[in-house]
Amino acid sequence: MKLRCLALFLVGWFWVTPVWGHVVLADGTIGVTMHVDPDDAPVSGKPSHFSLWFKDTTGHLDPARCQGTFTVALNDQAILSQPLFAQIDTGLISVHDVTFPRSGVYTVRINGAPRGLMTFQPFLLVFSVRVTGGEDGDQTADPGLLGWVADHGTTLGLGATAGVVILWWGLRPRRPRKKVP
Amino acid sequence: MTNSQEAHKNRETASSMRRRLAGMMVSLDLVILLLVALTSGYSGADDPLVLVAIGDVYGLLAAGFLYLTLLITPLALAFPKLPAKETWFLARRGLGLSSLFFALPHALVSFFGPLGGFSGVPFLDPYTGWALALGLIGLIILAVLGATASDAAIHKFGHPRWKLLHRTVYAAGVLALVHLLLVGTHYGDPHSPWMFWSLAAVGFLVFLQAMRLDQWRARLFPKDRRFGPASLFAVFLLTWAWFWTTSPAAPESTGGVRWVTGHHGMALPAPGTPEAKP
Repeated sequence: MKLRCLALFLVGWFWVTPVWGHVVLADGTIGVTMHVDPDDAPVSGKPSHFSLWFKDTTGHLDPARCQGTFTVALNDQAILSQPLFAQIDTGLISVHDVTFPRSGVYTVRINGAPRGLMTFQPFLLVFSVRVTGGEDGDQTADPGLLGWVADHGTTLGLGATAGVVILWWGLRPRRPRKKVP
Repeated sequence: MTNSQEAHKNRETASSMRRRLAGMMVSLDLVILLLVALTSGYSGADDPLVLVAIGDVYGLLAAGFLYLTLLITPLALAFPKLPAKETWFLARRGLGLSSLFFALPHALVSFFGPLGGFSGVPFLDPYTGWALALGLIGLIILAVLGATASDAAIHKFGHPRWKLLHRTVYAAGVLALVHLLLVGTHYGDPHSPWMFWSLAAVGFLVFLQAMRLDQWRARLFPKDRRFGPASLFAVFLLTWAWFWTTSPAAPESTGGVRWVTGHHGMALPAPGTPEAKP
């Protein structure tokens, strides 16, 4: 019984692995659904693929008339700046490949404004992207599982202790109730 | 001791064991929930990708516990000599509650975090919108089942009606699967290991349920064979899923971002392709 419950706990823990999802950012009537490939978890030294799907609730956003940039910065120093809708035949989709030089928290700015006549609202979307260290050429390389365990040793130790106490509480043998005469 | 007294005592023992297992599992869930949150490295509201990861971990845990909840009965019927069968049966309540326990923070973290809450709803892409709606229905079903997962509720509703209500867990399972396939970009690529192993697990469950259905038919029509039409259909589905996940990737694959092609019907360049100037 104890082994089975322990196995159940371990299976639950095994499932704790990051997977992917989407991020929605909005400025006024214009919003973007963003996904970063792979895993929504960029790694330094390896290309990350940003996919942005725009939506203007007024329906006026037109990539052909939009002048905008996709900028990535680290500590206020721009490392990359690309035209927002470089491929105008892809509708309201914008894709960008970024290779982050090293680990850190980068700031991504997506801004756009209409060329000429004001047909849609200018927008600015700013968010942070945490980049972990890759293996090659990065002095701040990801320390891996052992480093993660060392960083969170106290928390993990407390959690493991709590888990053992709960298992003991749940699986301890019960004394049969005394019969009431 | 009369037979009726003995049956009453057995029921009491089973009920006590069920409560104890449920309490233990929910307590362990709380520890896991806190561990995930505290070790995620989350540093603030402008860190959306970390929130994506936390929400997905909770979602996967919810899906995993729901899968185990659904698996126990058909597994025990298919393998009558399954060790500690009674204990597994008694653990179903705890597993179901664990699924709800993780589904709630999954919904809260994902919706109010990376998806931007109610103000983000108008900007959702269609796939995420559908996934959100189906996930919400699944969550409501799990919440109703969680609220009625007690001996008092069985007494109140009567066992047949309570059992009928709790059969909606199958609907919750289907909704969770569709939610996962729609919103998890990991599952957008049919060749990803996540897709393969998830479909293998679901296929195993579908096959066991099909065997159960065939056994039920065999009781009605004794001349039918044990592996009847439902099992054969399940095998067909599994074979199709196998070929789907193991066939070579299409050259215009968009790397799992399904709304890119799904909504606009166009393929984007693969990562690394130089972009043209406007």
